[in-house]
Amino acid sequence: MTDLSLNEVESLAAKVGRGAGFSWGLAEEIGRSARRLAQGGLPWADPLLTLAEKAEELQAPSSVRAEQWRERQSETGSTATLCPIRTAALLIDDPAMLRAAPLRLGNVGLPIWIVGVLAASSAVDGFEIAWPTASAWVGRQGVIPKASGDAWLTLVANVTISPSAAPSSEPRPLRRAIADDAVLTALGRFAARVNVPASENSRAKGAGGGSVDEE
Amino acid sequence: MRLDRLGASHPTRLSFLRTLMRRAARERWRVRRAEWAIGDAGYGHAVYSAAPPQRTYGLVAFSTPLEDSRRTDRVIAEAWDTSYVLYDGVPDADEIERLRQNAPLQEAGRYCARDLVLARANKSVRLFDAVVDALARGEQPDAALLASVGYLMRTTAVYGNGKFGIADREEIAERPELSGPFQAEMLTVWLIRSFTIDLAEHIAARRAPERAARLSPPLRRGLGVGNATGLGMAPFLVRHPVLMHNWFHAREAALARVRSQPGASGAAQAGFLAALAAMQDKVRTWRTADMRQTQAVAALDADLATLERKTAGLTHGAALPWDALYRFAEANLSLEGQEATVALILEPHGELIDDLAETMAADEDARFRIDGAMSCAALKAVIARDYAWARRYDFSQEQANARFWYVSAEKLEPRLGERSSEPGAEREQPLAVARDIEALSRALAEEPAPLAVADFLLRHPEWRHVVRRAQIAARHPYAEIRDNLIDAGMRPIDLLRSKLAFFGASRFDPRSDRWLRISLFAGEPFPEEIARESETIS
Repeated sequence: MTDLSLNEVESLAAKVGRGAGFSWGLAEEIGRSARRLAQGGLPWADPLLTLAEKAEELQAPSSVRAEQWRERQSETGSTATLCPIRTAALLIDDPAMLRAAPLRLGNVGLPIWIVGVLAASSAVDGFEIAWPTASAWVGRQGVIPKASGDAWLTLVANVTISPSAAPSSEPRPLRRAIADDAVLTALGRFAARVNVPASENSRAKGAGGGSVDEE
Repeated sequence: MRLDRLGASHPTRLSFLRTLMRRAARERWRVRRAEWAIGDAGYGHAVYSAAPPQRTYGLVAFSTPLEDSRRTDRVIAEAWDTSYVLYDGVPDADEIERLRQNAPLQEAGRYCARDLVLARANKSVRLFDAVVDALARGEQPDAALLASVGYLMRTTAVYGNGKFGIADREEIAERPELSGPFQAEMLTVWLIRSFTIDLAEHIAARRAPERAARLSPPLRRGLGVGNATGLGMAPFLVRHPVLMHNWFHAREAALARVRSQPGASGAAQAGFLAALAAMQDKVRTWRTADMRQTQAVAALDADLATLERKTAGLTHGAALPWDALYRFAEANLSLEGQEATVALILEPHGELIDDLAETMAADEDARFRIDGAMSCAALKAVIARDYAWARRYDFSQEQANARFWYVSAEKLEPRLGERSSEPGAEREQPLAVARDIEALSRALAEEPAPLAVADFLLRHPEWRHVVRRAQIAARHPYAEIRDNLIDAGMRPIDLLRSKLAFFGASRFDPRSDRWLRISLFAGEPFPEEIARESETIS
């Protein structure tokens, strides 16, 4: 296991997100979300790897579905597995969405990322995010998880987001994160996709510095 | 906020090393060499402790042998003359041993939350040996030689904020002494400066115990810590638009306060003239091999002479004397001269402006959220208002789109590639702000005007980071460098100089258009002097 700073978590997760094909802006959200998950004591490295591996299978909510959520209508006609990042990004971008809560979102892939993205947004205060095996309270003070172990790693679930008063216990954000070395190695392969391999030309120019100190 | 002006930046009294020294003097920090375990040849470790009122920090310094052929300023180096960790507290023997196993390895080591800053420095071969030789002979080194280099060692990296496992910024952000930007890094460099001189004196003393001299106080005072900075630092200002706004806003607010002063007191005029004289001294010893900078320094020298001649006439009887001086500079001096004038007229106004140093940190989290309720038409209008400057460029022309920023797989550091001749443009970093803003504006024009940005981004996530920038810039007028950062003629050192001036750097010495050397703390007091000199530090 490796002990990591939270900045390392955020930076790695953003690169992994980009390497997995998310846009730069969504990759930023993934980085911040991973940091919040780690601070909340939730798993972040395994869910990040699964997110990267399954990114291409996950779909953005359709405009029709988004309108149904806004209007508190029952979802109809979609069996696609929702991308949790793009779904949660819509929820934090559009204040009308969370004002319509409780929301029921069907077939959300890796729902832990709904927790992460909402927790990282200053727009979100006082919601419970629940699916059959786990739930978490999310607010400006942080994240309070209610589940353990593999319960967080649900691949697909129906998710409910409900307004909820802050629990009596104050969240105590963690200041460091840990990750399994094998998982970190696998994440590193996705992160490396944002980097450009050296060429003869780039090596020659480098950052511009001289090769040997002449003073 | 154009690159040519940023590339003429000068440090001011709001620069971060000045802020650190003022606080240290005001609070009478206790600074001492707490441990010295350096052998005759100059290898081993030392610990310097610095104690603000609430805490103690320890700089742990390691000096290790290094073959001359391995000494390089580039980030690709794998070994250095000296390595450092700013430690949170006073390290015990076990902690020093842990750091000894890691700090000399730098990026290849691993660090923990008690390690606040990681740095390394190489000797200036030309000067370090000459100083040791002279001191060992019982003589002072040649003052001209000292002035021509300006430092015994130069840092090639100073890492903070969680890199390689060291403490996150948020660990220290609430501590008054380190809450301002780069205060932990500045403290590290300040203490490194003491170590570099102690090390040279130590080696000389061991070589000639009976005869060796110590460096005279004036020569000592003139030495700073060098720094070699390349592309790695360049994207920082672009990646932190809120922070950049706060830095420039503080400076502009300070300038506005001074320019609106209805008079110039005798003390303020004397302070200005003293600062002018000090800058003239610095300019006379400002050495650079760069032709363009040499010309700029010569122009600055002439500008300062002009200022000296004109000051009395300009300020006498003017309703707003400092404003008159500034306007004169704007109309008559080079960019270097104008930026120097800003630094000079801020200098005697500490009581009026120093509080602005407290506004230069940034809560970037609070500004991160996208306002998805904004309509596409409103966003387009915001862009038209705030990014009119971006319309100067025609990105269909090769010149405007000539380069791309990327991260190298080899060193994980930012680099600049040529789009037409180098591979990797498909992995371009999102730093081409002007081009991307223009493209976003065109994309928004295709959308129904009332469409909410949230819905636009649902279909077009590729614009998310650009939308965020535009919304930040709408509330932060100094958030953007108003130039094309991928233009064929763009000079990265302009970005570097701006940031380094905010640090408080001097002696800007461009070595190409991509990297430069500078000096930090040259001419400033040493931390161990501050208790007895606290009245003189401003």
